[in-house]
Amino acid sequence: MKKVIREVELRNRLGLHARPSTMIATLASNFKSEIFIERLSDGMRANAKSVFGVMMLAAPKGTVLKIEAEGEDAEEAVKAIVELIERGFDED
Amino acid sequence: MKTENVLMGLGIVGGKGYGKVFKWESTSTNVDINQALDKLVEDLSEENNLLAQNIKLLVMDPIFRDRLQRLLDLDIEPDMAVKLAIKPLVDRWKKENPLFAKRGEEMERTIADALFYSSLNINEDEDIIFVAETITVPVAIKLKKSKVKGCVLKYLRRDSHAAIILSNSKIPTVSNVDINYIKDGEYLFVYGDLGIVSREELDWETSLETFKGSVFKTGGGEEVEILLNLDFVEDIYWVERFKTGVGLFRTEYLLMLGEDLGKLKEFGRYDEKFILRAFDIGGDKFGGERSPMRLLRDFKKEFDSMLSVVKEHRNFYIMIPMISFPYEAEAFYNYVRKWGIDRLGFMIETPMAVRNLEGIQRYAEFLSVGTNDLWSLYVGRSRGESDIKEQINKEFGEILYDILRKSKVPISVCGALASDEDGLRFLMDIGFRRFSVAPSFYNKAVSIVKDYP
Repeated sequence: MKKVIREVELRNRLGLHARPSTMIATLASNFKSEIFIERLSDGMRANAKSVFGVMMLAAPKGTVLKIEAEGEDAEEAVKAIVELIERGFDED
Repeated sequence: MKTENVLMGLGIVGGKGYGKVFKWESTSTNVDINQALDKLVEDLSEENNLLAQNIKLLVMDPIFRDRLQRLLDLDIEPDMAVKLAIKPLVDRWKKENPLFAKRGEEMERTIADALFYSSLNINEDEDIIFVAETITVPVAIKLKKSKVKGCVLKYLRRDSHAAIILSNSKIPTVSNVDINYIKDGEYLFVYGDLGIVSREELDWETSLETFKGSVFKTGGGEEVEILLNLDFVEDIYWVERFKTGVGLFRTEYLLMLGEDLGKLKEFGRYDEKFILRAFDIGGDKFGGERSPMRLLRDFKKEFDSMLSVVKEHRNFYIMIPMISFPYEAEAFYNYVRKWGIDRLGFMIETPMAVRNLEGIQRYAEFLSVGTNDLWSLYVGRSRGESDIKEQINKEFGEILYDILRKSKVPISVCGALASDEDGLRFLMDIGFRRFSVAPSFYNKAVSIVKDYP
């Protein structure tokens, strides 16, 4: 099974509050792979398809996140989530 | 207008509405929680907004639902089970990021409202004015779908998601109203632009002018200044709405958000007085040391950014919090003079500052009393630990009178005591005539001043 890992820094002003978490969980649910997000600073990890889990990360601006996917579409999944975060969730 | 027929509040959504009061008191008695949540998910599916989707995903989330089910299996009451299920998230948001704290509380109320949602049945046959303590997104969506002509609440943040839904639905809304005076079934006018609820129709334009400006006269003809306490640059809306200045802008939130302090220039568009309170970096915000000298050490770059904005605009003033000794005041005086700025003031909010007031004011163009910290430090309590009404007593009154008597420069009160009906009258009785209040209290403050003998 293919495994892809990338790191990305949160750039949006308020970090992973409700709306960004919803965008991540909704996007992640479109992929078959298992996807996890981890806060590098303390190793807290969440299933990217669970909005509760993503919100529990409570990550503010500047947090470095590790995006990890395993499955047939892992490459596309990680790419899509990293792009969403790098775009600042289109908040600005 | 007869005052007993008018209730003052804060305009959240503009426009005028009229109808019969539907006073809603939420109750979760005998609610099938899973059915209630499923019904909520169904209604939220029709909403094309991200927060509605967020709530939908959250109440469907297996982690949340498993946690909830385990609590229900322990025979915990449904409303408590919902709160406990969401609690780890709310606690984490509070701990990790102060900016998330309010949102966490909003989220907690929103999910709890899912229980009450099914008990909310609005009569569709007549125009309704909806009255409640507060509302969250699910209820706002329900109002949007119903024949509601106005909304009167005890509490609602203007930037909350529920307020945004009401605004998009063009439902005139007033918050910060004492809803105890409103009876179920009576008829009311809601004036969203004025922030007023009335039993009789008002002359809109005249009333709008009545609640604007910085200086008002008491019944006895004395002039009283009423400015605003603001937290964010977006709050500039209230300066525009009330045509008054800012007596306390809490800059620490900009710093915590990592915002460009240059944004403060936005307030340069107005002629009104604008007092920037330099970062109050007390233990409840950044942790640790409360000394104002930290501004000149750890936050020098940020403090300089503020001073450059103050220098640029003649209506801008800089105010230093947590001062205790004249040498601190002198250090700030010398520092800002190097920038060519003389519009410097200090907060009087420590017992030591009260003792040293004469020495401190030698370096000040103005002073402002921070009643919250002053009271807490006098009685040895943490911030927010006591009811504001406890400050209204003879001993604290004597301290405040002592401050007023000793001050030789203009002195205002910007603490929460000035944003309380009894507190404001108490401060006026002592002799204070300059205040800075929460926007939600502005209308009430104007009324109190005008009615003051």
